[in-house]
Amino acid sequence: MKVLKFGAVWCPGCLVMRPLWQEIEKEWPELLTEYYDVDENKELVKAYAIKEFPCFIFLSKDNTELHREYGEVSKDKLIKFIEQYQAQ
Amino acid sequence: MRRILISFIVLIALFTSCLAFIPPTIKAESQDKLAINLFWGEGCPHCAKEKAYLSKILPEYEDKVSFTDYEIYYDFENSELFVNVLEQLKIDGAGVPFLFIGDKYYVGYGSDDTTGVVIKNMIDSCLESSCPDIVTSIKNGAPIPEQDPEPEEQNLANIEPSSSIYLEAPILGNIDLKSLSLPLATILIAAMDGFNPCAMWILIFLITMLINMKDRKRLYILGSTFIITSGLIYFIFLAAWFNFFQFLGYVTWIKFIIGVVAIVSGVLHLKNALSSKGGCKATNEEQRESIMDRIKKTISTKSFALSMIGIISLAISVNLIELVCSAGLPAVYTNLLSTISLSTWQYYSYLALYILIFMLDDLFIFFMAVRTLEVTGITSKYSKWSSIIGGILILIIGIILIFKPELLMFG
Repeated sequence: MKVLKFGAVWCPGCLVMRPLWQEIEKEWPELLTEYYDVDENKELVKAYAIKEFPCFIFLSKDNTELHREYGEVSKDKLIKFIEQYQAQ
Repeated sequence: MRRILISFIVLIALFTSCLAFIPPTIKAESQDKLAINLFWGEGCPHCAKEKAYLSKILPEYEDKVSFTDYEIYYDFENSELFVNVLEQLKIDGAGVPFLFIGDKYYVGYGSDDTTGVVIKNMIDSCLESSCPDIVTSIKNGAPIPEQDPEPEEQNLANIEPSSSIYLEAPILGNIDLKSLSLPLATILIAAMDGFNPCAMWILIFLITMLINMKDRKRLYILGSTFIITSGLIYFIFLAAWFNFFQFLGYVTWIKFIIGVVAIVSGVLHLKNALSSKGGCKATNEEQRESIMDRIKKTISTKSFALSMIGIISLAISVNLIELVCSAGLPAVYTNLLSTISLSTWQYYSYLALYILIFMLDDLFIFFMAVRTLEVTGITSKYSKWSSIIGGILILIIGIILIFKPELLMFG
């Protein structure tokens, strides 16, 4: 499983989520995450039909979308999703 | 559609011209008697109280006084006279009820035990001395006595709720709109208007770029220039709305139009809030990119003066677009403010307080950036709720402005 993180330098919610993800990535070193700046990755944003930021997409090993979250999400909630989907 | 619009305009024109021909409700005028002139508005609760009190006490004076009342909300001639009297006497802070006892005046009405006693004392005092009828003098174009009219101690705190309007708001609970003091109402409305972290993206982008340049001086000066210019533009915008309402706010069809604007704005607020998934919507990509390019070019200009000019023009243009798109709450607030009798500096102090609260989140971001040289994110978790509360508030105010405008008159 991996998580795609979509954000922008101008988006206040993305700034709030940045340190939170840093903590999670430290606690879960095996977790795969990829960050995409929405202004530099417009095609990808379009492909995933993302309308709001920040957006976090949980993908399975074969890149099937398992779940997505918009806006500010609590650390507990994110960990719950990671635990739920980590085997996929 | 055009026919309907033209018919609507013609109807409004006919309606307003009809109003202009309604004669003032003058009861009696006499040169020998003490003239008591009351400017009042139909539907204004404090005016109704004052009229009831006057009709109770004036029979005691029988032949000694002559009473004339001027309704100004629906009667254009009377409202023109009111404006003229205030201008001639250089009185700031017009509001009704406005009572002249000869050349003395009293603004507002609290209760029979407070304002009522003051008014009675004024009448008694004028009956003992001479108090010329200044309103009739101005009305007849006669020269005004050199001496300025004397205001009695004005009870401007007599903003009493005639009835309660409750707003059930999440987090804040039940808000009785009429019992809110003016400072609290100012803070509440400004906070709802200003708390929108998603709208701060330009400032966040600007500060990020400035921090990346590692030039503290540019960060201080260009960042504060952007914030100050934005605040000034908003202040001018609020002051323009306020002055518009001070002169025309009591006209019924203007209240109706503001009511419609408020309802549309409230519905849009609610629609946006309810359709939000919790993040910031990425709307108008082209406009965003053009603003981002402009910021990059402006701050990287070698000439500091040119950077300053660029930032000022950027702040003016982006805020003007923003203001047109979110005129609802400022219009409602300034309309409310114009119904209260205050002095000019007090009006503008309230507008300044509104701006300060409106810009609190921008100031926080800026000061944090200056202190830590990092951009701090402001949680947008509650922006959905603030939009919902703001939307409901503005919707209720819009409905009241159309169907029961007197409920929103503090004065």
